[in-house]
Amino acid sequence: MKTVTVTLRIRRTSKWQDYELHLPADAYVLDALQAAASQDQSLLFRHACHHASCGSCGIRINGRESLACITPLAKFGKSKPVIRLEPLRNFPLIGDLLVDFQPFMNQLALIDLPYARSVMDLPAEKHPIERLQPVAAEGDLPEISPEFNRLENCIECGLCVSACPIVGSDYNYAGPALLAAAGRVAAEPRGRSVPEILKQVDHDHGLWRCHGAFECSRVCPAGVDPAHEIMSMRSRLLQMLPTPRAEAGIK
Amino acid sequence: MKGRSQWFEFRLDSGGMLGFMLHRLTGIGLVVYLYLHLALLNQLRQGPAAWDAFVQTMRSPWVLLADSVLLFGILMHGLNGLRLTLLGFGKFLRWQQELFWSSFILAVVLTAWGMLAMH
Repeated sequence: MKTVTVTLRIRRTSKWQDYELHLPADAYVLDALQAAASQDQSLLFRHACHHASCGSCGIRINGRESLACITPLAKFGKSKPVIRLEPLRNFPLIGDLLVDFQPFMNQLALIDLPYARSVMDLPAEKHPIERLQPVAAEGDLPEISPEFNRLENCIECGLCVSACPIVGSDYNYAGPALLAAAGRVAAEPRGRSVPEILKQVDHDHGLWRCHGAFECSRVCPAGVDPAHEIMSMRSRLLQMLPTPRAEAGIK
Repeated sequence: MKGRSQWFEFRLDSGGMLGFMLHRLTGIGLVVYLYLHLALLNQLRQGPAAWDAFVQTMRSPWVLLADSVLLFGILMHGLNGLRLTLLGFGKFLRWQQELFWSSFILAVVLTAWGMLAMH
């Protein structure tokens, strides 16, 4: 098996620390992190699913927000690369690569984006997972989920919040993840009031604080495109405003 | 000022972020230039001799180079402003990178043209 030698330069809570590691050539940054943790058990980082579904392992790799589990070491070249790992920005730091997601999750809960949905609501050609349905016999499905469910696209990894240059300078800014969630609910309200949802984000620290750097959409590993949602909601809100003529009572 | 450093992060492969950063830099530059412009125009009050000497200084190659930077700043801010207006109305969102690079190239070309005309 081909191996590579990499150095992880990790931003520990108060210093940089290097770990030299030997790994299979097809390993990912998360594998390297776990190898580093086997050398040094005090290293703090979060991981769970290892296939870009859970959004736990979001960090800054060489200054770019990425999921460690889907970033291959091969990307950094063959000649003993030094890979810089830092925690996500714009979140309270717990230690090393670990940040506190609780405030972010609390904020997201306000929008109440359904994180799972019935495939029955969706056109089949758009959601190939429906093809898996015959594999599971109906009786095998757990009682709690009477129909096959699909996770919503946002994996709540927080990469967009870290990449956004505005969140760091306006702590009250709702941020791309929350605004994208509002956009998603507004697009498919399932009985909820669209003007009410838009009102929740129609303020100085909401939709109108975005200054169009589009980094959120670029780093998103799930293809959510928060910038597109934000700009589309703005456009929708502008269309809902009364025209100056209507406001002046001129027909 | 905490967090403002995030505004000036050089991400060459991201047109969106470059546009964001250039918009801020050129915006600050234009505000500084406005006051500089007013202060220098104040020379007019000190009589024709002072003004002629001032105009002579302004023709030095270094000042003309600074004028080119100013021209680029005005063009970049204006063209990127148009891009942001379109995007803000939800238009051409899929082409935001291409729109940035087009306005950047157009600003560079027009600046070069302006430099040729000035020198």
